[in-house]
Amino acid sequence: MIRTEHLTKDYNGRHAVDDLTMEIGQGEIFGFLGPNGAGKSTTILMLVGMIEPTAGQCFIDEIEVARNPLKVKDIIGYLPEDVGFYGNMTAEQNLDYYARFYPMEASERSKRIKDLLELVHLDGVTQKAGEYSRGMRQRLGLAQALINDPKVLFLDEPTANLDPEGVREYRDLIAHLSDEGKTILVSSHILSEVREVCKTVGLLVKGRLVAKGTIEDVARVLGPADGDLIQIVLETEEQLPRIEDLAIVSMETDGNRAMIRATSDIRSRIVTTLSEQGVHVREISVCTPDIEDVFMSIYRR
Amino acid sequence: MPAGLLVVAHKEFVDQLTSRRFLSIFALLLMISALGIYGGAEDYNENLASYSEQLQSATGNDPYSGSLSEKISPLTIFSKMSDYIVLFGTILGIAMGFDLISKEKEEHSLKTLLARPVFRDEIINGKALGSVLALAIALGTAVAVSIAILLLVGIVPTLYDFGAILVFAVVSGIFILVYFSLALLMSTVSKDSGSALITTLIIFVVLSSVVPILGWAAAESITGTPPASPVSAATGSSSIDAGSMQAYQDEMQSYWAKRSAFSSAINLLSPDLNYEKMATAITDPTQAVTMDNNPYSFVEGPPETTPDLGKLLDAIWANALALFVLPCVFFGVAYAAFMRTDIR
Repeated sequence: MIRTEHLTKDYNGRHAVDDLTMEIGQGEIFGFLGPNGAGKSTTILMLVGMIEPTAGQCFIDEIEVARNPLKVKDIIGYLPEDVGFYGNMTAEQNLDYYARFYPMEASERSKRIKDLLELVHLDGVTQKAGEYSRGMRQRLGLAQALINDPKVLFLDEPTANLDPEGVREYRDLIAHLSDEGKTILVSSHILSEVREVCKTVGLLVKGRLVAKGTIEDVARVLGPADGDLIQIVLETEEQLPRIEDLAIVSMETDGNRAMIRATSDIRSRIVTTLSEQGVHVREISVCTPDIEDVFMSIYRR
Repeated sequence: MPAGLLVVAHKEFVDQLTSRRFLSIFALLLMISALGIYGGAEDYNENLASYSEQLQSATGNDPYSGSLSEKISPLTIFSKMSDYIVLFGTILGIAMGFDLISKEKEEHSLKTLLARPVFRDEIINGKALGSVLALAIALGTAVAVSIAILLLVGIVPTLYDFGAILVFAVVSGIFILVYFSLALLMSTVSKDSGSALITTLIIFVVLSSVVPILGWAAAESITGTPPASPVSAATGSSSIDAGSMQAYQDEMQSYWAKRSAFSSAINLLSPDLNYEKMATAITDPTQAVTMDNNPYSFVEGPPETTPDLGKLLDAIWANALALFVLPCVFFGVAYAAFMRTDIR
């Protein structure tokens, strides 16, 4: 549903997005991760047809965005990071204005606006948008992104400014939209937020996509490549004997438990060694590197 | 017409007509125009009474009655209105345009708007169209109220007068558009509305006040000092021959004609002067053909009869062109700048 081919955007000779090639399938909730300034928003702006790429192409539902921006805008919804509205108009008036750009009958428009305002809990609010709190603006932002019942939704830092209740409602909404078969791209620099709603993620650093897959996959791929050691957690029935293996860098024992740091996954060798010594293994597992730590180390690069 | 353009234009039109800023300035313009027209109408009636008296004296075969001036046109009443339009029209134009784009940038609504299936040019064109329609309604109302006042005080314009009033309204509209398009340009290129307003006001002062002064001074520096009078040259001599005097007069006439031409050319940059000349051409054509596009002087006295259209057009075509070209240039640059605006 979303596809980029060698997508590149330069600003003043610097690559804001560098040779980005990726594909996001229909119905997928994809998390676009990366530190501030990684190029996430720039990528989204190219995908929604607001800026043209310096090189490469991007497609939404097989429509090339740069060639047919209006066709693409017909089928997408976009919540910008710093969403803004007309302060002199109510939520309903703002949504009505945006809805008029789509081929919708007045009755359909009216019903859609009513439903969306209920969905984001802004129904019955008579204040002008200029008097809204940040959270209310964010909720109205979600509503405007859904005004045309889009196939693809781009959400740039969607939980910014939302209170815990708002965040919970947002997560429910994303799940609901996913059930409807919509493809959703969520951009955020907050891993925990993306982790909650996204099935797959892509990590963008300095304009380049450094990893893509499930969060665990990405963490696993990035962890060892960073030079980190594999941590093996071991628990036995009996007292743990000393284990000799060239791959073991360190071993901390505590009775029948041990934390082994090794250069590779030597679990099968450990089990064999212990079995030969008549020691029964109760549990042995690779301790996955802490995902937050892995992402933080990438962010700091 | 593209649907997006109409949606934007409709919103802009409603926004303008319901904005307190627009309504306040419009109300002020309306009130002052009405008062000006009312005062002008009273003067006109007095002048008309005096003309009737002159006419009676002339038809009574009075040998001392002298020559009869032309009948006064009710259009002269509108010359006062043009003064008010120069002031309040300028304010209205600037007020309508200075935050048209910058406010969208400040409130971050531009990105939300551009996420719709609408081309960028439809946005700026729609905004301009909506504002121009609002301006047309404001100006149309002001002129309609003025005509109503004329009719109320018993002055019935002829069909020719109605046509001239219509042209006056169009020219006034174009004049206001000059400052509206300038404000729109500044709104497009400035970071915020405050900077846009200040820059617009500075350029307004330059175009309306500095250009005429600079024009005159620049013309003087280009053409040099006036030729020396043979009277001062012949100090000590008791007589100046007629040939020298004639040559001096010709030289002097040529010098002032040249200086005036330079000044007029520079003054074409001033929308206020162009508008004043255009408005004068409509309300008082005899004055317009003698104005040298310089606010400080007349080349010669006004003719005794109303000049024909050809002569009138000959006198004002450059001003008309300049008045029309300026808003086109400002809007063209604003359009180009908006199309290239970095949306990040």
